[in-house]
Amino acid sequence: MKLSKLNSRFGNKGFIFSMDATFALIIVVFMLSMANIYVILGSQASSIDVQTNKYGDDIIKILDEQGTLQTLNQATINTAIQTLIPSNYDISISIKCKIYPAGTEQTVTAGSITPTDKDVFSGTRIFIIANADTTQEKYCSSRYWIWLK
Amino acid sequence: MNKKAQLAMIDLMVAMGISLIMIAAIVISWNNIMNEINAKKGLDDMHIKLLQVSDVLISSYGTPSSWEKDVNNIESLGLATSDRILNTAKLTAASSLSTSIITSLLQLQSYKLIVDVKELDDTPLYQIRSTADSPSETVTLIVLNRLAMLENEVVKVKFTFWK
Repeated sequence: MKLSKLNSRFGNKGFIFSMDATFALIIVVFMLSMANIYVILGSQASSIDVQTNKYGDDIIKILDEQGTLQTLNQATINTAIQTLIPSNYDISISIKCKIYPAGTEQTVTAGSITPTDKDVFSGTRIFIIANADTTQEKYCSSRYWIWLK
Repeated sequence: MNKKAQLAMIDLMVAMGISLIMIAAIVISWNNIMNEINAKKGLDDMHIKLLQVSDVLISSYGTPSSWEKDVNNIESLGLATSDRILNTAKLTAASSLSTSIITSLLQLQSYKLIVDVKELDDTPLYQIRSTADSPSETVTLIVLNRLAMLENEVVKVKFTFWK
């Protein structure tokens, strides 16, 4: 009864503008909320990334420095990894060597299996194994993958 | 009394109420986002600074290269003979440096740093401090663990960093 009188007095334009403004506000609030969530998630990730990356690089450097990588022995590398890696990390190492002058290849893997459902950080270290007796040289690339358990 | 005017007023009040609530939500949310961004930026700055300091200390030998023989003329601090190979003489000399000299050499400004060099079983070997204080429970603390070699043995280098 009164609605028709009000409609005739104010029309429907005001209602449409209010709806328009409300939708705009809802969209703005939603976008700000999403931005908020991403900012929080982003800040949590960065600190972990840095630590993990550096630790992986340190481990492969130590293994190289100790001569463990140069053994190309899976058991020896696994034992060394166990002494170096903290309990909350896990690592996988793959060493690929090209043997000269034979031209053959040798591959050694050590550590755990790289997960597919976690953030994994990777790096590479190059080294050469020279054998003076046989004049054989191995040009090796050791790649590591490290992640939080 | 004009009933049409009264209804229009209630409509206006409700609309204003909803608008104010929504605007308040936007302002609070925006403020929250800005606080988070500033906190993240501060934390990122701390991480970058700590990484730089840790790399300089465990990967460089400092300037001059034998600064440990004359601690009154140190230009930059480094604890290594080569990348991640620490030097006992440099560690001993750095451990005895004053907190103000370490703060100045590492350009820490308002940051505080404690470097602990330990064996793998956590036996302490050396400690280098830029402050005599320990971090309080309320500060944002960053701990970075690194690995290095010292006298052919693997050692842990723990960096505790705060502002």
